[in-house]
Amino acid sequence: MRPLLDIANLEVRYGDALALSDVSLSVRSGQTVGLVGESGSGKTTLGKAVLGLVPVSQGEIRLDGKEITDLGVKERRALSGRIQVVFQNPYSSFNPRRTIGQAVAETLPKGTPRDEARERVGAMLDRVGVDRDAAHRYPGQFSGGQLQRIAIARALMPDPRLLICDEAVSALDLSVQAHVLNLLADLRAERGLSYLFITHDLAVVRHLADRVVVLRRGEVVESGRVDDVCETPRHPYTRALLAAAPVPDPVAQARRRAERRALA
Amino acid sequence: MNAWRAVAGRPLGAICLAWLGLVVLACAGADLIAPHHPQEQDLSSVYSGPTWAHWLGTDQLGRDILSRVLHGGRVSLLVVGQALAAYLVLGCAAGVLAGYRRGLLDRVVLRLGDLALSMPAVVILLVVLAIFPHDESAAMITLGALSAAGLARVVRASTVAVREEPFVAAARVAGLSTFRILGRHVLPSVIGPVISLVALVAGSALLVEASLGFLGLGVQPPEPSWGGLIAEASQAIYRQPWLLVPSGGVVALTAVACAVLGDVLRDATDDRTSREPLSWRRMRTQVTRRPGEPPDEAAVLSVRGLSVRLADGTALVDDVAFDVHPGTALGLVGESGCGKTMTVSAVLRLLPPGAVVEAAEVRFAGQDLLSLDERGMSRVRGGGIGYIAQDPVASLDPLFTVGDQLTEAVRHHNRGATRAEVRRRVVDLLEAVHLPDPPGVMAEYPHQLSGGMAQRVAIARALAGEPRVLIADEPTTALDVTVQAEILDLLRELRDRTGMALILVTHDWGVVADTCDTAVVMYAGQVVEQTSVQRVFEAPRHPYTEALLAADPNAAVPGTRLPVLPGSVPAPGHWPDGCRFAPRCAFATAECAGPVAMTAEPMRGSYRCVHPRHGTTTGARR
Repeated sequence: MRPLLDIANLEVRYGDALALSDVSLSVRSGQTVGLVGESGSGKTTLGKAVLGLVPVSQGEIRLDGKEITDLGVKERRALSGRIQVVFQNPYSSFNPRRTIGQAVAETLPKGTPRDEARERVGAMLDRVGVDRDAAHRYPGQFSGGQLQRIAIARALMPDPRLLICDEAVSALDLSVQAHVLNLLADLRAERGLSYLFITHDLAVVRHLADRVVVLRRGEVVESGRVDDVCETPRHPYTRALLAAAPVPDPVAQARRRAERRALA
Repeated sequence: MNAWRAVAGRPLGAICLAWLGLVVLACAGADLIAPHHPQEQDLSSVYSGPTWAHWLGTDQLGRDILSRVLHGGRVSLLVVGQALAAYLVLGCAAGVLAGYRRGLLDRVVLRLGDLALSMPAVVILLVVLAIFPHDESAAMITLGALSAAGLARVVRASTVAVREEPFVAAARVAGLSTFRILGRHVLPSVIGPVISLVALVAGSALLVEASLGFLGLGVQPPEPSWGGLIAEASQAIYRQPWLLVPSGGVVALTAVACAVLGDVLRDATDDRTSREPLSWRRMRTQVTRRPGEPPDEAAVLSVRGLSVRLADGTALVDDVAFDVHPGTALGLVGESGCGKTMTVSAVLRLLPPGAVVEAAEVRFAGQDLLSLDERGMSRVRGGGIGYIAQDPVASLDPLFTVGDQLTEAVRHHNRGATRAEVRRRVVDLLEAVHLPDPPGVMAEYPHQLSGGMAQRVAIARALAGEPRVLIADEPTTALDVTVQAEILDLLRELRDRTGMALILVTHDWGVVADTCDTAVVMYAGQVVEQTSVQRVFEAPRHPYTEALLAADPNAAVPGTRLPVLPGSVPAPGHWPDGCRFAPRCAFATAECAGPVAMTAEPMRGSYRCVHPRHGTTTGARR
C-alpha cells in the first residue's frame, strides 16, 4: 500500500545550520506516527517542512504519491484541504481580534453561503465538544483546553487526511490533556485520519501512536512500532530518553532511577 | 472599533473628536452654511470686529471672516487629507510588505526610509513647489510620503512580531493568500499604533500647510486658505489685531486637537496606563493573624490556616496547612489555577500588589514569619528559604554574568567577607551543582547557557544563603526530559547532603514519584489530600487525586480511552459552596453540599471528602 505521507532523505538548513539531515519517514492512511525528540532535535522543523512553512534544501516529501516539496502558493493552497495542523500554544494559535466562528470558517472555500458556513462551523464545534455559541465569542474568553478543541475543529473543517499535531497537548493540564487525547483517538476512528504527532512526551506517544520515530540533532536515530521501541529500544539515545522520563509509581521509579544511573 | 469607543469614553478624547468633527463638517458644508460668499466685499465695513452681521468680523476688503475660514478650511483640510492618505497608504504598504516578506525588499524599504528621514522636509517641499508652483497638493503629498518612512518602521516592527505568531502560520496552512493574511491577520494587529501616529501627523501636516500658505507658496489670493488668512491678518496686526484670533485660532485648536487625540489613542490602546498608579502602602501585602491549629514544632516549615485574597477580594488560596520536615521533599500537586504557586508565594510574601494574607501560623525554624515586617522577610528569603523558578534563563538577569550574580548573592549573605573568600564560595557553589569549569561558567551571560545549565546556576544562587528550605516552582517543566532527570538528581542529592527540605510545586506525577516524600494535592485553592507518596499512588483517598492519577497516560493501557473528568477547574471567585470538587465528582451526594473539613487518619494523612476512596474506615464506596 502506498503511504499517505512519504518523506525521503529530507534536509532543511537555517542559514549554515543543518536543522534536518537525511530524514526519511512515512505515515500510512489511518496511522499515527509519533515524532519524538528533545529541544533542538528538529521535530518542529519537520512538521513545518511538510506544511510548506520552511524551505527544503534536499530530499522530497510526497502526499499520496504526489510530490509536494516545493509548491507554489496556489498549489499549496489547494493542499490545505488535505494537510492541517494543531499547534502547541492554543492562545497564540488564534487571532485575538477575530471571533471563533470567523477563525473556524477560515478554511471554508470563498463564497460559501453564510448560513451554510454557520451550520458547518456549529456542527464541527458540536463534534469537538464546544458549545455552538462559542462562534460569537473571542479567543480570550476560553480556557486553554477549550481553545485546543477549537483549534482541532478549525483544522478539521476542510476534512483533511493528515493532521500534524505539534506538541498539541503539551501545554495542557493532565485532565484536559486526557480529554483532548480521547478526542483525537475518536476522530481518528471516525474519519480515518492520520496523525503526525510531534511531542517530547513518550507517554503520550505510547498511548496514541502506532509507530514512533526518534529524532536527535536533526537525524533519525531509531524508528519502529511504538511497543517495540518502548519495550526494547536499540539506540542508546532512545534508551536514555525512556529511562529519563519519570513514571508515576515511586517503587518503579526508584528502580528506573537506579537503572538510569547504571546506564550513564 | 474598541479604540474609538475607548477614546470617546474619555472626556479629553471626546472633546477633541467633537471639535475635529465639527470643523470637518462645517468646512465640507461651507457652501451651505457660510453666511456670505468668501469673495463678497462690503467696503462700508472693513476691519470690523465681531458684529451680528459678521460673527468673526471682516478683513481689509470687508469680506466675512467666518465664511473665509470655512471655505479656506476646505482647501487646507483637503490637502492635509491628501498628505495623510499618502502617509497611510505608503507607510502601511511598505511596512507590512517589508515586515512580512523580509529579505531584499525589507532591506530596500529600510534604506529608503533612512534616506527619507535624513532629508530636510522643508527643502524638499520648496523644491517641489518650485517645480509645481502653488500646487499645494503636490507639496503635501510629498510631505506625506516623506513622513511615511516613520510609519513604515512602526508597522514593519509590529508585522515582524505578528508574523511569527502561530495564528498566522495556521492561516497560511489554511490556504489563505498572502494578501488576505495581511489584510485579515496582520494589519488589524498593527492598527493601534497606526491610528495614533496618523492623528499626530495630521496635526503637524496642518501646521506645515498653514506655513506654506503664510509664506505665500500655497493657494493664491483671493482664494482663501488658513495659512493665507493668517498672512492677511499679520499684515493688519496693528490696525485690527482681532483678525489673528479666528484664523490662527482655528489652526491652533485643530492642530492641538489632533495631537491630543493621538496621545489619547495611544493611551487607550496601551493598557498599562489604564491601571491606577499604586502607592507603596497599597503595594505591600497585608498580613493578618487568625486563630487556628498550633504549628508542628518538629517541622522546619509549618503552615496553618493560610488564605490569600487579591486586592479586589477574590480568594486564591483557602485555609491551607502543611508541614515540611528537615531533609524531606514535599510535592505540591494540582492543575493550573488551583493555588499552588500562590501558596508558596504567600509563604515568601511575594504576592501581587495589594494582596491580603490571613493565617493562623507560618512558622519557619522556630521563627514566626507572620510577625515579621518586609525587612525581616527579606532576610528570610534567600537566607532561610531559597526559591527557584520555572524558567531558569528568565530568572537570571541578562545584563550580568553568572559570576556577578552569584557574587552578589554570596555578598548579601556574608557581609564582611573578603574578595577571595567570596570568590571561593562562588566556585564552591558552582561545584556543588556539578557545573564543569566554574571559572568559565562565571564569565558567561545567562543567554549563553543551556536551560539545564541555567537552572543549575539558579540553584547555586539559591544555595548561597544556605537555606533550610528550598522552594522550587515547576523547576523542570521548561526542560528536556533528560535534563529534568539530572536536575531532580541534583535536588535530591542536595537534600540528602545538607539536610535541606524541599518544596516542589509540580503538575507532573512522575516528578512527585521520583523526588518527593509527601504529597499535598490542591484543588480550587484548598488542600484536598495530604499523605505519603507511597499512599497517594497506591490508595488515593480523594476522588480528585484518583481522577488526576488516572488521567496520566503513563498509567493507562495504550490504545484505550483515558478516564476523564467532566468540566474544568473552577476559576477563583467561582468556587462552589461545600465540596468544591462535587460538581465534577462521580461520587457526589447531597452531603457534599455542606462544608467539608479535612479528615485526619493517624499515621496516614488527611483528606477533604465525605466519600473517601480506597478506605478501610469510614464511608468507603467503590
